[in-house]
Amino acid sequence: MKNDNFVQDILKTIQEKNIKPKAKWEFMIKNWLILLVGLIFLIIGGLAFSVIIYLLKNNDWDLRMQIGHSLISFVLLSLPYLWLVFLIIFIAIIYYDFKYSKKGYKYSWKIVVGFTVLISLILGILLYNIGMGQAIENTLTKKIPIYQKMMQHRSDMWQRPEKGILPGTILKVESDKLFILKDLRNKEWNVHLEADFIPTRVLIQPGEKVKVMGEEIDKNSFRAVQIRPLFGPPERLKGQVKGIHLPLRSK
Amino acid sequence: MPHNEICENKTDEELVKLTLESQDFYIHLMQRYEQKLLRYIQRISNFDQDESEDLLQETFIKVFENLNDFDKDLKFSSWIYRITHNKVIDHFRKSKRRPDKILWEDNGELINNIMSEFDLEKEMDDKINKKEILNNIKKLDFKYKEVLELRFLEDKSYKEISDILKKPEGTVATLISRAKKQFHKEYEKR
Repeated sequence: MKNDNFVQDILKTIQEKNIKPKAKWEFMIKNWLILLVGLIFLIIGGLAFSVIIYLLKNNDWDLRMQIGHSLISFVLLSLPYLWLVFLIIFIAIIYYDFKYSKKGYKYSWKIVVGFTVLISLILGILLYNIGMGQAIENTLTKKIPIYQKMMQHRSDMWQRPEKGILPGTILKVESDKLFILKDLRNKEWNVHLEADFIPTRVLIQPGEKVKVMGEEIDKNSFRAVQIRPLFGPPERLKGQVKGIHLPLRSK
Repeated sequence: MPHNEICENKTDEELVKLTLESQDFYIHLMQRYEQKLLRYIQRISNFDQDESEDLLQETFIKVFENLNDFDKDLKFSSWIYRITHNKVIDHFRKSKRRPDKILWEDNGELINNIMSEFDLEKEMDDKINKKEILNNIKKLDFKYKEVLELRFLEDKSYKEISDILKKPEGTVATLISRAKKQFHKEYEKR
């Protein structure tokens, strides 16, 4: 040391500048905040997982062959990329949050990410089972137009009238045998419900987004054999509704 | 200087407790670490004496301010080395420089430790100059040298290195193993 009184001088500086150790509670608040941020994002990650499970589970996997996709291409088209990106972002936030916690550095990133994914998945399954996945998806679809656009790729793959699948929105119900549907490319179709129609529990009323299965009769007409919601199971019908209520076919 | 005799037998952790009650005790903690930390700063930063002493002073003040955050699961020495290490890195960041050199003294014990850890004893023969080993160490990447410095010059265990650098113990072991591989590559080139 150049200065023999090096440590004495430091102590003097501490005393002169009245430097005090920061209070314990300041560190406790910081640690609690880190924990809180981690927990919040873990729950958000769980919610993202519940939507992903909901979207993948209600993907009409049985119709894959009909629209002529291999399993791989069908999976690639069906993946909810937006939610996967969200999930990756949430997991990255949890990872960095955990790394900044007191003991976070002791664990390798593989363990931290692995546990985060596992806990989010378990939470996601629980939240899916209480209907959170469906609730979030339905709310976002109805209330946030940009969300619909971002998820467009998942509905576009069903636009295959020549293969017997016609997705779109019901514009007008003409009678119990005919309604007008606007498909995903904004083309209007007359959809006929004939004698061989298999009733399902879908509400046929203007504004409903549906997937009609059947046969293309001509350029503007389609014969419906079955109707499903565009995505997911039919919503629970509440109270009096206008339109045709077709009961779910019993197996 | 207060309580000289009492403090001599106290552990670092006990001194932290006493310092929190009366700041005068802090002088004993600083005395225990001033030489070690100054040497550590100089080794990993290559700063001159004045710059190193300034940095050490800042480090001691920061340690004092954060005494209530000292994690009792850690050794105090690991904690104070961690703060010192972070201070040096921050200093490099602020001055937009990058740490690259570590000062390696030509120390016989150090060479023996490295040879033992790197399994070089079997390969060693009289023709090999021990200085050559030191030169090869100097050619390693900084991340390896930093770990080797703590292992061989500061004599820290893997657990302590993990606590100082805030890296998992497995990563510390991997860095040492990779340093060994890189060292052998350099060694074979000669």
